Amino acid sequence: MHLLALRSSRRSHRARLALAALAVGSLALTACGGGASGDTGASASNKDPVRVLFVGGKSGPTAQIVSETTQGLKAGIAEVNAHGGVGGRKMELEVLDTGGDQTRAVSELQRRLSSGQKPDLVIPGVSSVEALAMAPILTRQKIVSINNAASPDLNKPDQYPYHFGYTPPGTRQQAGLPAALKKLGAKSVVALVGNDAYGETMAQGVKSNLEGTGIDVQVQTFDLADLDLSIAYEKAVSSHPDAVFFEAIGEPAQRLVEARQVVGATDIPAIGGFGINSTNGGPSKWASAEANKNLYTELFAATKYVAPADRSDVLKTFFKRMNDQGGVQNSVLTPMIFFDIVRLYGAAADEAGSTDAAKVAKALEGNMKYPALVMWKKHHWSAKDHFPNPTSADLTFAPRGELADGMFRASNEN
Amino acid sequence: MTLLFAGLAVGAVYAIVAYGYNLTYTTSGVLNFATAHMTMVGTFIAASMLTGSGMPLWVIVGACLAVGAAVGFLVELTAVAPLTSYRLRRSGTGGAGHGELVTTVGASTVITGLAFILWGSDPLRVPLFTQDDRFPFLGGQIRPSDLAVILVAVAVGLVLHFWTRRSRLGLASLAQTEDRDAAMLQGINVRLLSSLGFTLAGGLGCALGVVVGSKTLAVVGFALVLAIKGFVALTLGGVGSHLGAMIGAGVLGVGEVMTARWVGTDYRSTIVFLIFIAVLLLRPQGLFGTARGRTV
Repeated sequence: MHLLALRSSRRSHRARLALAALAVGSLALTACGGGASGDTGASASNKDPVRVLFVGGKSGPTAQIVSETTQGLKAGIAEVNAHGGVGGRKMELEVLDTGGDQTRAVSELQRRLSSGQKPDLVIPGVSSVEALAMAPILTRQKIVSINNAASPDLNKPDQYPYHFGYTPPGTRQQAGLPAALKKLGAKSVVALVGNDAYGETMAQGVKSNLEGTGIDVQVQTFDLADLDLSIAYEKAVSSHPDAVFFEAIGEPAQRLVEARQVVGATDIPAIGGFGINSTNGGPSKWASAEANKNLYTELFAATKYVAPADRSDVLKTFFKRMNDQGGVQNSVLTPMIFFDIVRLYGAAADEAGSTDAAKVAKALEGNMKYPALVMWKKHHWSAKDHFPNPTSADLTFAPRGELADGMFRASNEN
Repeated sequence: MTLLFAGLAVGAVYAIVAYGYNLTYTTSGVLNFATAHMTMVGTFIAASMLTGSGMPLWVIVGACLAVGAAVGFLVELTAVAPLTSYRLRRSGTGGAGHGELVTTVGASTVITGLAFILWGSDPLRVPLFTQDDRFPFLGGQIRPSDLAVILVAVAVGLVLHFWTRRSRLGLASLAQTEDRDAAMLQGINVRLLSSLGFTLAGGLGCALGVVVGSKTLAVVGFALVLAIKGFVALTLGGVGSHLGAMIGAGVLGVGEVMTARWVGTDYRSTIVFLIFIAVLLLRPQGLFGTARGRTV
């Protein structure tokens, strides 16, 4: 009996210990879960950081833009943390290298999500291909993601409720074109674009923005694989338009600028789109003086040069934070975008009182309080539109120039 | 005339690639799909050396020749010779088979990857001519780079044509193409001939990249376009004929440019390929190729 009682007592003691261990474990798990679900208020530990995960190609073809992106993110995080963080929680950046490959990006993201603390904000690469590859996973995991990808396929709040874009889709990038053409005195324009989806989007953007302005638009396409674009350019100017708008990215961009000079059409004003300007530093850098004659390129107004004395407070802050990170490497465009993204997220999480994806997304879609932005005049997102919708004040155009402090300064402004 | 010159210049670029195909085909029976990639490498070497180095042109062409020859030799050694040796061991005949189509595509992929690593994805200018604006010429207008690429393509095509028919090496190549076994019995070292053909094609293609780049810029992605268009030009003119490649490429280039100007860019490829199909239906051996009987 005694022996049996002792055994029974020991079993009972072990069971109690096991129950106690389970209870402690459950409490610990609950605590972790609470942290991950993301209260920013007094109930959440101030030691638990707000995790920003950047999944991008530190190595490979996107290394330069990823380096600039990382700088912008660090500058933005430093600014948020200097103002008390997000509900008292400090922001922290983690970068995963994908080599610029979207397949690797997906596997790296999945590996990261299955181990360690869930990130609160993910920057899904620096291109539409990467963002589109990661968006389904981030939606399933209920994580807010924001980046610079401009694909309209990402602007689907029903499908990707937690993804937001900070660069306007192609069709909205031409909002500044009517004012630019009017300034040039043009009443007719030929839009010369590639015969691919990007070219089609650009042509739509040009047509929709010039509709009702009284400016006659003709669209002409060129083959991206064409060795000699002078034929396409010659055809474009054969109808004697007042101006030409052309757009391409990469090697066709250089070929188009060259073709304009080859066919002797430099007397006809031409406006190169954002793709022309983003190719290899823009035609100011690589095209001859003759090829740049009467050639203007589209710019985000935020990237146009402002003398140090005339800079706004937020621009001064941006430069201060960037200098702390080693200074602007090339153009201010990429770091500006990510400097704003981090601060907008911080403002939304503060407003929501939580880093819970649904609550933050709702704040980002609403009329929340937000800090002054460097990139746009105002914050644009809504429940039905997760991408910027710039006005003509946000977009401008400029003749040949150079980068000064990472901003574009036209030669005639020197 | 201006459009004609523009079309001939485009065709001249295709012809340069087609010569490379012919060279490896006549010497080893293999269509080397890395041919256009040699030219692409040449454009990048030229872009790098012409920008700010102040080196004389002959040094740049020599450097391209040496690099192209070395790469061509390596391609043959790694992508062609092992398959030939394998077939020789298995069946006693070491001629070309279909496997080389795949392995040379593999070699072209490796070259593309290396070019991306070395020079990046941004296009580079090949400033062979400081001024490349059109000037009046034979009743039309032409760019110096266009004129240069046309003259070089015609000159190289003629040299290769006579080299094939007059030199011992050229005649040995023709013999190898006609009947590999008979050529071997005549004492022709077909293994060495194959290696020489790839080395020569690599060196020539890369060296011609200097003049091609002045027209096309140095762009990694263009190698694939040139590989396809060069092959179409070759088939149009007749595989094995350098003169045929020259004329086939000219027809292709002029056809493309005229269609783009007067019909529309979207129809360019369609019309060109319709011509291509029509020629092949009427003359399957191409405009200048030789029809051969086959015992079945």
